[in-house]
Amino acid sequence: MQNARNKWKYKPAKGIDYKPTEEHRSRIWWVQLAFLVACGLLFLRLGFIHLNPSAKLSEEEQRHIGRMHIPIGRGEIFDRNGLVLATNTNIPSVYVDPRKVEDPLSLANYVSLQLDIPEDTVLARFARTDAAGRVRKSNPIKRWVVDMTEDDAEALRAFSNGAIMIQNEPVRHYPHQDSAAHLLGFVNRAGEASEGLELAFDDHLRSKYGVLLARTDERRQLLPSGLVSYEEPEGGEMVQLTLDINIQHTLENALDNRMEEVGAVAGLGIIMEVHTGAILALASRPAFNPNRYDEYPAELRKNRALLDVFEPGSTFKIVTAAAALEHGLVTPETKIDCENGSFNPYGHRIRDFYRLGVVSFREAFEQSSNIAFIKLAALLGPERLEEWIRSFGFGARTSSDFQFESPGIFRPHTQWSRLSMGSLPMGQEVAVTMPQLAKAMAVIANGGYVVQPYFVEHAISQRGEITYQYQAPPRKRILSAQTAQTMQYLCHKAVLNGTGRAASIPEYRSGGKTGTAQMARKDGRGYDPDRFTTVFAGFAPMSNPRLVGVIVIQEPSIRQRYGGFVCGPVFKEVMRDALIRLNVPEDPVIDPMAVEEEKTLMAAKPQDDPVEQKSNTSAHVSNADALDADTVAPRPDPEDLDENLEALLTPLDGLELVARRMADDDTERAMPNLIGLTRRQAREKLQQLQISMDAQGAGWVIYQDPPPGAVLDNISLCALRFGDRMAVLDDADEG
Amino acid sequence: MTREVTLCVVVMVTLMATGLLMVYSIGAAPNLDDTLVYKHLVYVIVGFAGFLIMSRFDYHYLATPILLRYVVLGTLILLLLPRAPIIGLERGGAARWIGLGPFTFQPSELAKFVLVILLAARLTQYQEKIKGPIAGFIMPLTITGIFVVPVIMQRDVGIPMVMVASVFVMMWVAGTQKIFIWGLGTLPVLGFVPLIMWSGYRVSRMRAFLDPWSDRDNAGYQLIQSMSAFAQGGLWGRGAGAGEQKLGYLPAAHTDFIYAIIGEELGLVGTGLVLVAFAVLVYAAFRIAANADDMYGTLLATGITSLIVVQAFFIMAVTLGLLPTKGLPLPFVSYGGSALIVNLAMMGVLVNVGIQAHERAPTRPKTKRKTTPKKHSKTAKVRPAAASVGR
Repeated sequence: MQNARNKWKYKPAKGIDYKPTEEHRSRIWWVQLAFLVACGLLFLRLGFIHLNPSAKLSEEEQRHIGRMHIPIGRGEIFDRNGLVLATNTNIPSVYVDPRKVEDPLSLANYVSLQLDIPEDTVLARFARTDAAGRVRKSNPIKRWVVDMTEDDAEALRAFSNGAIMIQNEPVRHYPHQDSAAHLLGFVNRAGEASEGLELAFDDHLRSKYGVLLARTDERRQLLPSGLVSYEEPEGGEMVQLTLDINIQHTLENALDNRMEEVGAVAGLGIIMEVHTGAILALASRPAFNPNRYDEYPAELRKNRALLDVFEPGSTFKIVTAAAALEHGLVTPETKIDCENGSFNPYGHRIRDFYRLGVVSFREAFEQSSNIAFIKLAALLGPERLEEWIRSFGFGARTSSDFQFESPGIFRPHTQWSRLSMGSLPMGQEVAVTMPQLAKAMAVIANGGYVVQPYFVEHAISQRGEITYQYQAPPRKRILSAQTAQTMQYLCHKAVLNGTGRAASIPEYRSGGKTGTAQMARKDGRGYDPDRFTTVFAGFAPMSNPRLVGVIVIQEPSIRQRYGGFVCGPVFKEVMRDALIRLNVPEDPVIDPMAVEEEKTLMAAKPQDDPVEQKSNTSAHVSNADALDADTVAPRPDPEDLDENLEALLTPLDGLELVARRMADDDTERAMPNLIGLTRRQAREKLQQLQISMDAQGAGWVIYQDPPPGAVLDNISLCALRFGDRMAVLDDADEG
Repeated sequence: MTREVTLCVVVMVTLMATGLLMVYSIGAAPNLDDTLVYKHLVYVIVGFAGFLIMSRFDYHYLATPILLRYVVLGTLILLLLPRAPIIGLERGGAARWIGLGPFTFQPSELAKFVLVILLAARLTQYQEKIKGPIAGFIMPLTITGIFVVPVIMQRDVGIPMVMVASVFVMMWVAGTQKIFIWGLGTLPVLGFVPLIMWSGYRVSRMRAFLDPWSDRDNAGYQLIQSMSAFAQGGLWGRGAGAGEQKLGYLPAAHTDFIYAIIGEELGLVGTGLVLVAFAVLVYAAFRIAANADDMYGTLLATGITSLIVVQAFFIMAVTLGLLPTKGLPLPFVSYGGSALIVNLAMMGVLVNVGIQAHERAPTRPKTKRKTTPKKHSKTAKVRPAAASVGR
């Protein structure tokens, strides 16, 4: 040992080779013991903390669980073609973090200029504290700044050096702005459904966010396998309406234009399917923009289409006429003495616009003779009249889809006055709503069935389940087919020759009835001689009525304040557009020969009528043979001349148009061959035919469906597959 | 190779394997550095090389006066370098590191090793007068002070505490009179309480230790997260890699608080195993110290073992909420280059002490007789120990 040590190159320090003694070893043993005791203490602590931690410590783990809200927006609203009517979007709101404001005065000045609010308000917002007087992390300065651009926001952020925060907050958005605004209603800034459909279907549209509990890391990022619990979001269902927003646009534009032309205060309109009662368009003008609902007076937000009641005027005569026909009291050719335009039945003088003598019922209807209808009502008697008015749906709400709807005003016959039998047949002493009128017109147009107007087709949940589906009530027939057809014919005549000429559509024969009524005085009793409600209710096409439309324009300020003149053009424009959009086959106004044919057909009808009650008609109706029909041909009022000109011209125009269309149809009715064309060529060809293209692949058309030569009826989509032109050639060779 | 040396190596390797596993697990967490485990592997390899070299290097050379002089001087200069302008690194307000390219080095880790070598040599040299106050008390404390003060100046309290505690153990083993030891025992109380008061953040750490929930989100946060990790681990743990505390909840998860992550992922089984490993180290390493060839070896082994075990127990106690929070890596386990390399080098010295004792002056008669004939032939060569260790 010493030898080895001596061989070291470097000598170790002196005295380094001292040997440890027993005392040293025993001291080491004590050290070992001390460390092992420490070890035991640590082990005890380990056991406790691992296996029996304190409650506080165990709770700590819960902090790893993050709670996440899975938001789903409020349900969207679609029209019948799937176009979005109401959706959700974000609008920036401006907040301030008072702790970061460096120079309050200059910042307040800048902000007040940018946001157009007083500087004092901004300063007050900077200084706002919570209830306990503590400085808050964010105070709202202005919420929902609709017109703020991203650049504005960036400028504000930059100027304030981070003190101003701009947050996007979800709000309801109506892409079609004021279109169908009254029908849809709106959701206020607080997220509460306030009016219209939004309110009526709030249970379906409203959404509740889902809650996801999951384990997270410290920055609240979800861990892949950390799912603790998941609560699905609820509600937010899609609601699809029967509305067609394009028709709605047409209706609203037509109303707006006409209101401007005639200087009217308000315009209402409805387009409805006659067989189902599905509403395609329901307008109330002027309207409000639900995106900025707070900028409009409450008066404008009122849905006048459902709430305004008005005296229907002559349009109400369809009820009296249908009742009289159904009971067999008259036929279209039954002669009625119209007393030369002046009659005094109930101690009150009734006047007609046209002085008619003894004319057929058809002519009396065409020229809207009040006297004739008072006579018919007298034949019916008050009980039957009331029954008929009620069965047409007057005096009651029309639809459960409307949150608020006026039932109109109609009293039972026991409360009628002495004059009621003279007023009711011509649409006075009764107040109706526009949907009621549409519903009544639909009875005539659809062959005698009462339908219920509706506009909510169905609601579909997020999972795709149908949670609401419109159920039509069982159809109730109140008119026989013959009566309905006769009424259609009479209405058609009124449009073709009578008061509704302005509503005549060249491509589609239509029927309708005009109405003009004085409005009640604003202060109370009596009629206001200057304020009128003009109405046109009609349907089209004659051959197979599909749509019924009612147009109401209130308080036109021109002299010709007649339903036909004021509302007819709107009806014409909108109905034509709607029928074309719905691909309804044309039913053009044709030559007088066919009209004549129809006339004889209609004259023959009453004999087949099952309701044979012709016995007591002659007593009140003058001799039909006494007068030639030609002598009582309508003498147009000079004021109506413009209108007549149009009515006279339209049939010719219509014929020409139809002829042109039919000529075009021959060449265009077949699907062209697109094989081998480029994508652009194919698209152009299809665009000419107004067919959408469903393209797959790239290159040249190698396959098309429908195949070339296919009939184009009901085809709106053409599937094309593109590929290498060689593939086409190869196929062709093989084929 | 004696049983004690084998045990020490087994403990060391076990702990390093655990450390690699845990560093891998923590580094793989999305918000941390996934190259952590590779860096750690580099340290492990470098450290293991250091271990092998030191285990073959006769520990007596460490006491060569000229070498010791240069080593001590160099270490003291290194201790001042973290304050130097270019290579000094400051992290979290504490200048403890010097930068060496992508790697950093903490001179205080080296300092504790050098202190132990120096003290072992001096306490052996002064064995004759060890019962007196100068050799047994003033001399070692002066030397310790020279090393500890610069470290304290680096706003580091953990390593000085470990150093002082180890010096305390060495003095006790060297034979300092018990009266001085008891006196020294009160020094932490007298010395460290003002030290704690000296810097504000230690006061808040102290308060956080006494009632972590009083300031849950700031001062008490780390301790609560650490203890919560153990609580979440239970008996078997969440499973390796499945822990959540490392996902940003527990700061310094891969260094000082790796024991808590072991607790969470491997449960009581894992933490118990680590604790048992250190207990085995206490047993085996002090056996090596007791059976060392000479007093210098005994004190060297005692000092090295004390440094490692005191540090381990200290940081375990911290993570378990038994001691106020001090930043110290868990030896062999935590990520941290300097500490790992120095610890492994020290283990090499410890193993060398064990081997030389076995070969030259075995205390147990059984082994003495068997090894004596071999010994003579081998000690004829210059470096006999190296050959036998290699097996």
